Amino acid sequence: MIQPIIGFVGMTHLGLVSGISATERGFRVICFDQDADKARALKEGKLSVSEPQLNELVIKNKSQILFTHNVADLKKCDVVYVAPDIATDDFGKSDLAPIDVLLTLAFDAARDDAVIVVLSQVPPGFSRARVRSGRALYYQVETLIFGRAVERALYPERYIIGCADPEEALPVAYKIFLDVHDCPILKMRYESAELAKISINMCLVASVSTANTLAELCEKIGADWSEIIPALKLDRRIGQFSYLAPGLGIAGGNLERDLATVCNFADEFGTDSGVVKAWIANSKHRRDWPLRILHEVTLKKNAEAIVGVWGLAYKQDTHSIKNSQSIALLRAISDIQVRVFDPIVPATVVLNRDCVAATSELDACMGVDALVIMTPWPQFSKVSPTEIAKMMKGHIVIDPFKVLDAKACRNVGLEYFTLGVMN
Amino acid sequence: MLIHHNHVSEKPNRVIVIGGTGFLGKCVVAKLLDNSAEVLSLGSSDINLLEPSSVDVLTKLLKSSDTVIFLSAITPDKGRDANAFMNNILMMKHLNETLKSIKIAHLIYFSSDAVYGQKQSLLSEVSPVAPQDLYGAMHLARELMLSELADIPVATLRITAVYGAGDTHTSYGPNRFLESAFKSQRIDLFGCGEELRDHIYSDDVAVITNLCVHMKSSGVLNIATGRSHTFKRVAELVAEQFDEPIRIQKNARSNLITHRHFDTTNLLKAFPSLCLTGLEDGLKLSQVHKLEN
Repeated sequence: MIQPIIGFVGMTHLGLVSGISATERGFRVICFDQDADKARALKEGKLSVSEPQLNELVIKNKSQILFTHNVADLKKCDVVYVAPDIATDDFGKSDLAPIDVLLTLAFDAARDDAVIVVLSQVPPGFSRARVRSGRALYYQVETLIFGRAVERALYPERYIIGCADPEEALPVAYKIFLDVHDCPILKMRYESAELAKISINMCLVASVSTANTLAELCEKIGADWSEIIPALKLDRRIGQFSYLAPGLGIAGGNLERDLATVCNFADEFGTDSGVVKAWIANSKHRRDWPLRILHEVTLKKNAEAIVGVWGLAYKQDTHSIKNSQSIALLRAISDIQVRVFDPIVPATVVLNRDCVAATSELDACMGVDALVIMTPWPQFSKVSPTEIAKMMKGHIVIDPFKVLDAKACRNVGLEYFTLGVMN
Repeated sequence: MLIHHNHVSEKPNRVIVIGGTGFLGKCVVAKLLDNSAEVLSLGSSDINLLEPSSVDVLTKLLKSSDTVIFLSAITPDKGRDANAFMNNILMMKHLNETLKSIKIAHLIYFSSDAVYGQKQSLLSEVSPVAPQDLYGAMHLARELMLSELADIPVATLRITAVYGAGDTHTSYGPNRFLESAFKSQRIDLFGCGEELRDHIYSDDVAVITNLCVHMKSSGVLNIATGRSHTFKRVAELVAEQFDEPIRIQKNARSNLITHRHFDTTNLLKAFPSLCLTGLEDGLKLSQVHKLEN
């Protein structure tokens, strides 16, 4: 078979990144969105999401990609990925209505011999309930990481494919596309694949929660979590890529969704989810670490304090503020004067009464009593502590992610606070 | 977590403090008067909440624009048995009956951290409630009774161990230590005093209550400092305040050691600039007051 044409339906983060990445693997790609304005903007090179390499790839592979809102274009596709981002509510519950609309659209618009693949994250039971007689439907686990989405799409560790019957061979067109990525392909029944995605995330949350629990203990007993991490990573049972950096709990929406899904299923089927609820509680507890430190060292001493905040996104290299710890902090100090800066996220997302949108990192430090670094954007680490100290009125730096060098900060008279070590 | 119904601090119309003549009630009243509020303080000699007639008395007294702070309770030092439990519930029943007919502007209820169980060492407002005695069960029952008042914003303050100037209670902790150091130059500890507890200074409780009044807050909030100390440390701090030597006596322990800490993040979120009194300072203030009286 000649190179199949791959379609992607739903041009939010997942669909857009996956579609553009597929062009880099040499495929002709059709990117469909129902919104004509969005399709037009994409055609003009105006990407609605920010990811490293994404802009470069869309320019480089322009001739291989068609952005369209014409559903008839999907007829040309051999494989159609249905890949909208799945929105969640405040309780982590997925809104599945939009993907149902797009899945129906894909089934109706694509050729009968085309392979339909659900790429968005869906709960166990979703795929089998939507099988259509005589049509090929697969569920492919996405392991997208915000800020590393292109890299993950181009070089997946493995493919996890949910099938109606895992004993059956994959359709040729679909297999060609997957094989190009040169990684193991794990076929399993739909339900297993749907739960595999959740299982991966639960393991990550377990690591993060363990790190956060023990990092907090380090802060009290005089140990240093950063000294312990290498010992853990050299243990083969834990591994060098394990998530052990202390943080401010879980954010971004995806992990929260899986935590909620597991709790809801456990409630429904009467299985134990006590540990999952403990992870959720721990996440909320650690999220407020900067507030507790800020109160202790600044706010309780000076009600008129001005606070500088670097970073609004929930993590570096993304525009997403879903469950952002920075936004949570700013909400908690809504009566305090703040100066905020984020390389991508505009300060308009901050609803505080007295908020100055700073034009740079140093501008955010101007005259502040305390600086809090809430997102570890790489560029923040390039700012000189000497310059920071010069701009600030006070000398408190709260840097949970160790963006700045602690010693360099202390050398210029800044009082430095970070996670995982007694401050 | 508290919700503030006032966006900025607003002076209340009139504050009626039921239980305003007790140790904590007096502190709350004094702080309200400091803030120029119109205050009516009621003690048990003014209104006997155990009597059904108290409903009529309160009904005639209350206005829809009033803020009510309810502190009245038979405290554990005066009774921990079923009688105390039933009487405490009866008092709340009468308040509840009144408030069902008069929709007041705001209600602040003084509950207790006794509503939580002893198995959890770190407590927050979302910790499971599991009272271990009738006193804790009473406060929980009262909280549930108040939940029937859907139309009135209710702030439930779950208060941990309070100490401070003028405290008449002599439960194990700072006040008893100060008292016995004064009287007998001796402080008795259970075991070696290893247990960690959070002790809050009475004035701080009054300050937080005032803030709740002025911000018209509703919801549940633990009133604690977020810092726990061993009883041994408390005893040492008390002893250091005296010129004469104070003997700290360890005694045989009959119970297992338990600890209690509070995650006070919600308190910080409610009042970000709040500055609470450190234990050392609070003990000094308590002693000064004792010497003056």
